[in-house]
Amino acid sequence: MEFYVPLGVRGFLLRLGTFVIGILGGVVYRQAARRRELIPSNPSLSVALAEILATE
Amino acid sequence: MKIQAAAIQMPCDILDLPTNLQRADELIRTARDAGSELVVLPELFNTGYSLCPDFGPCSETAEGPTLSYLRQRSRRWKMAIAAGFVERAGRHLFDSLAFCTPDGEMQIYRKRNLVFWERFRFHPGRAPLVMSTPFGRVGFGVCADMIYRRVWDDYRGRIDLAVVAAAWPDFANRDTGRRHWLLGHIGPLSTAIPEKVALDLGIPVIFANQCGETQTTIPVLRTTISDRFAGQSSICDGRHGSPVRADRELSVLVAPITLHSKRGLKSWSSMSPLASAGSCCGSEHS
Repeated sequence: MEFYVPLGVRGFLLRLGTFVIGILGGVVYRQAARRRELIPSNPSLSVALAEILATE
Repeated sequence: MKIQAAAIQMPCDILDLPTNLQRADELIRTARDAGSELVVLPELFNTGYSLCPDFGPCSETAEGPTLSYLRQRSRRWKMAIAAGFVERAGRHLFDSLAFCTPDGEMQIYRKRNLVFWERFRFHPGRAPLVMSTPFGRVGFGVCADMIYRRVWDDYRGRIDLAVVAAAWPDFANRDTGRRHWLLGHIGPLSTAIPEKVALDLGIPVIFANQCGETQTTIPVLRTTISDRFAGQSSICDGRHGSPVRADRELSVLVAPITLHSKRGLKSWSSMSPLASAGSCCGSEHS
């Protein structure tokens, strides 16, 4: 994919690295995703913090 | 029309939701007191940005505490807020950017171009997002999205304002300042690209970056740079005047932007009551 600003030879290395990492990362990501629950649960905040965040 | 915009530049603690939300709240309050109608927070402002074991426990749906908080603040303080967070959709995690408007509407953009370790932790988004708002059409980008031509070609002629949230590192050793041999030239692009987009597309660009220390780990090469985020958040008012830029420390950058909305009734000559004529201020928050 073309860069918005010229990156020269380093741009080629970056593109190559991103491609390789994308393949490896995709495999690792899929394994982690399979282990997650399908129905997500949101994190919760303490009542005290919720009150602070609700103050005007 | 002119509106007052704010780019919030803040450090974010890793996986510490309460601390980050509280810090952000103080900064949003500062932006509101300075008359801001549009506020942009950095990428992953509520979880921090790093090669974490798992963002899963801090990921959220639209009903999660972060987005509930942002919607509530947006409605009560009558300001649009854009903020990066870890989005959960089923089993997938996305590096996302939520945009909340005072009328209660919210849309979410998912980062399309994942770089470095991000592909290990996130699923890439698939499409650009153009959101119609009372002050024009807004297009979104998250950090490395900026460096790809396709992203801006997708938005060319379709948006009146670009919002970019980032956790853009310096790619230089924070102690010695020495740039990394491969990535060192990418750090300064965080200031160059928003400015270029503003001139090229002729639209305001609000760029909010994280600041503070970080570590950049490059997988495969097994290299870790003791780095810091580049900071230097900016508000570029299209082809009007010079960009306003923060330094590298925590700050709330506030400046007016000029919107030439093709959709709204107000255009060219009208002005928001909160934006002072031609004024331009950068306020440091301590």
